[in-house]
Amino acid sequence: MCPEVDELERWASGESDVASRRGIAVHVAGCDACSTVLREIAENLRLVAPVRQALKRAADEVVPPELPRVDGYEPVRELGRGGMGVVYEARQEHPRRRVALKILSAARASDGHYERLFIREAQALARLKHPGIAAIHEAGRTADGRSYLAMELVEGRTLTDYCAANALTARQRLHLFARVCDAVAYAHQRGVIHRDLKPANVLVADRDDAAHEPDGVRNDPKAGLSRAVPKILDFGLARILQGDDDAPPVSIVTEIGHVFGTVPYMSPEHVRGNAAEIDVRSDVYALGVMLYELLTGRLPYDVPRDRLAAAAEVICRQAPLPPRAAAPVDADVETILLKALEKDPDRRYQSASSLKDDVERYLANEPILARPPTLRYQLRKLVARHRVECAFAAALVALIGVGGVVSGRLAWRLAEEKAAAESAKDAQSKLRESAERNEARATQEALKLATVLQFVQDMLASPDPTRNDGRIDVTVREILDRTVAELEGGSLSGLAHVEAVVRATLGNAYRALGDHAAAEPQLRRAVELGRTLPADHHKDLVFALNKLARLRQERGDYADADALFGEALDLARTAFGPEHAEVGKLLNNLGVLRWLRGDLAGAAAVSETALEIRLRCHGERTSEVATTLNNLALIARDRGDLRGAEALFRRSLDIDRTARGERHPNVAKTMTNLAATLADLERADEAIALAEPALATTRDLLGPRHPDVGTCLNNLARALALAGETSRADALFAEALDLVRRECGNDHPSYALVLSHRASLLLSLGNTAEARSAQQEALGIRRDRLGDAHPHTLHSRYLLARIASAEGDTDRAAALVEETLAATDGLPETHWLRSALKLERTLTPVPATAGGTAPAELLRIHEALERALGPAHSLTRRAAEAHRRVREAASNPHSDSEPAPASP
Amino acid sequence: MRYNADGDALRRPLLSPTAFFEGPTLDWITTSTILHDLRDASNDAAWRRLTDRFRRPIIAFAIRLGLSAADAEDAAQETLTAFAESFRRGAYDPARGRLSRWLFGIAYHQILRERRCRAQQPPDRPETSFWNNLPDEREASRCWDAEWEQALLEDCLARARLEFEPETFRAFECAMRVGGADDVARQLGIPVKAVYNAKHRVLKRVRELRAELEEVV
Repeated sequence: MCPEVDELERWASGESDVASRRGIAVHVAGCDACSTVLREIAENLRLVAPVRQALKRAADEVVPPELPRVDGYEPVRELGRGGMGVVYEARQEHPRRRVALKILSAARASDGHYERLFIREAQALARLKHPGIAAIHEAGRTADGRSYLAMELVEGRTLTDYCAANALTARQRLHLFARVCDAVAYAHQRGVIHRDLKPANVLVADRDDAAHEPDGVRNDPKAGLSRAVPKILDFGLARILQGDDDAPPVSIVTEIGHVFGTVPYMSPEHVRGNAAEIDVRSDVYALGVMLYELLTGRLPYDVPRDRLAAAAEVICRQAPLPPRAAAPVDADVETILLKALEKDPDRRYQSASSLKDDVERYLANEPILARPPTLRYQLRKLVARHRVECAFAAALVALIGVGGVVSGRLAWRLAEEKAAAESAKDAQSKLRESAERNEARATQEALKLATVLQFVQDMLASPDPTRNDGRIDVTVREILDRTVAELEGGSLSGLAHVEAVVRATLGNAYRALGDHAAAEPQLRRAVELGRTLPADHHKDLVFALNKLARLRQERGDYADADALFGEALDLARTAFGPEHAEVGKLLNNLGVLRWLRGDLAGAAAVSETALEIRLRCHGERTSEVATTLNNLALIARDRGDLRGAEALFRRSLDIDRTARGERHPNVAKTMTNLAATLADLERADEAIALAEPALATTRDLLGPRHPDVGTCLNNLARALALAGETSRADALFAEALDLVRRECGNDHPSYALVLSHRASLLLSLGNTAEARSAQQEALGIRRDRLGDAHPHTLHSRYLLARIASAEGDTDRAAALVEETLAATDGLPETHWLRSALKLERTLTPVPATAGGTAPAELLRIHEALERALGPAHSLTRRAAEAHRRVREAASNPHSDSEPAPASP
Repeated sequence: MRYNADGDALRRPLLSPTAFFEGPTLDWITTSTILHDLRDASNDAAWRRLTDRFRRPIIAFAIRLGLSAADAEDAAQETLTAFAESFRRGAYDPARGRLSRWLFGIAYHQILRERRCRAQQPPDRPETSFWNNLPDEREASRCWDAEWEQALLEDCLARARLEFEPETFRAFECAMRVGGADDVARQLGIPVKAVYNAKHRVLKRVRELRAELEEVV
């Protein structure tokens, strides 16, 4: 038989008597169970000393915690503490009463945000004197400088606890709830939105004095609630609507992952983190959730509390669980609940008093005003899509586009709605699946979105007159500079993924403003930060790389831009897959870069891939597809395929007019591009018909100084010159040159473009000297910026040959033609410029070639030009004429075989 | 073994016009549970449990590092707030170190910051030189480990007190304070064997509870 624990412990401690010692030793040696107990005893004994100490300390720790010193108050005990501070029960000296003292913690006292919350709460409460709202007595500072609020001490239970503890019936709960609505409606009338209504912020106290009935609530004696007084607490997140000038702004999103408020009670507009959208109807929504909880014992959604984005997904997209599926509630009550919980604020009760009135109508057995949603409405589901960077960048670019000045608050539209005529059940199920699938990524995105938006919103939306010399209007440039200063001050330190996006967007905004020097460091830093991020943030790096590449492209650092696009593409392909829309966008941009570099074959290859991806990802009739078609058309034009270019431009225009609408800068751009191509084809009237409205729209939308206006002026001028309106054309060319020189500089390819076309006009007017000078200047710029083999450079050289020929300098013309022809290896065989150069060679009578062109060669030139430019084009006609003369000369060897000199 | 923890009965009534606290509950919540619930930023109960469990060792540690009781409370509050925020951001990875080490890092730097703030203000007690008395990080770390262990042990004892019959726990407590089982038996009027049994059972249970905490901490 095994010894008992006491015997074993005595034995192990050497306290057992001699007689038993040997017997136990022998037994233990052969008994596994006793060995186990002995091991436990040994481990226990090792614990004795620390346990003795712990017990001693526990006994010593009956000393009450140190209470703060507050003039005029005697703190009695701590009621609780949280992230912001501590709440004490205290005795006020004058008047003598018990109060609740809410004191900001010392560490938070130095944090402006929390200080503002405190001030905000005091200001909100100062407006409110209602028996249903815990009153403020005083605000001040403690001896050590911390803010405090002295408030009415409410001794009660939370709304849900009170209902449960008193086993209130549904009708009693509705009565109590109506009183809460009454207090909320009062606050709204006084211009205060609570923004954090929930059962825990409503305490219900039992008053001995039943006279404290809130006004306006129909008291039902049968309800047995005459002693229950609900009090709304905690206005720390309140928004004050009227006379808010001196109230400090309070953000509802201040820390990453911390949208202030309580997730299950947040309305869709609140959970999206957009303070500007929140109004009294957001409180109505929270009241709806509270009533739902009071009546059914559960929340209308299973909201994941630890994942904000997932919660937002549920709140914004899922239909609430029908109340009658959760608890036996009346149909009218269900209607009231569903109306209060409408996702669209316009479809909710428009005020807390309307909600209260309907509740009271129900209690009085009167018909309620709310009606169940129609079947049609039930079938419509809102599908919201966050477009983090697009929304963010678009907002900035839009600001810049409307004139560079922002006034007052910005409304941020973050979600777009699509009505889906699917059955509610199917849509809900699909959305849920989608939500689950994308949960992790969506969480990150929403947190980032919230932080980024709040950061920029702080910069943009609250112009601070103290920082703007008293001005309300602030230029975008000032906001950008201030934002950079905030970043340099470490505002987002430790949030590299957010900082990367913010810097990339800032850099892009500077780029859009044309300040490349300011853009460069922001974009470079964004890329540096992005490269330190883990793989799941590669989207941010891709975003930054894309923006930096575009900047380098605009600065003419094409090789750098190419490398950056390449890096972004590799990352995007790995991170999102080779067929992803982001890959399509990058390929589109890379196509533009290669086009600019004159690598037309490379540009065409990547742009065609981009088009395939975009067709798959976005669908055919989308602005993305229209953009890539426009770019492919530009490439085709430079490859000499003018008819192909025309078809592509027309397809792009057709799509974009539907996708973006007629009045869009991109639509105008495609129109003017098409006009330029039609001018190439010498179809002047068609070109003018497009170029004129394109110019007007571009001026209107982008302002008169935008470089795109210069391009539009140039293209209209060309068309007018073709139509014979040379004076007007010349004036427009002069205007274009002036604008492009001013906005882009006199070494920019766009400036060369205008120069070159103006030179052609001058040539047609017989002013060969000025034409030569202008074309030479254009050629110089093109050689420097685009290289010798670029189609535009070759075109300038060809035109110089034409000018030399017109001046009668046939040697020079012939030499230029030969040089240029020798440099056309990079052009496609079918490029019209090749044929035009060959034609020029046949028409330039130099001794080496005079009379040497065979009719067959001229026939080939003629046919090639006819294919490329059409039979009516002047070059085609010249070729036809030359062919005819050569053929005639060949058939009559005695006649003069020298071709006629080319007319310009 | 009697599990008589009744959280509701032990709650303090709600008196305050704020809603972030409801008073301590004595449910045995493992640290894993606390951390799991803490991910929900709106879960007031998780925040409360976090502070219930970890505030004391941080305060004790801060006092040992020279802060006043009030400043130590603030430091504890800041430490736990910072921890909760970083935890929600996913910064705490159990694979990279124990929770106690993580909290130590935050607490130690918070206390240093608090002391720097105080050092810039006119000293209440001119004879005290914070900086001369500041233990280095290694010493501070030893201090922290001792406070941490004590605090966890206190939690385990508080829990064990609820699980055992009062007589059993009293016998164990007496055995720890008084020492000799014979004396305890005489004092409480119970058999010596009962004292040994109580001591054995309670200590064993405390070890088990401590091991449950060890899983995460």
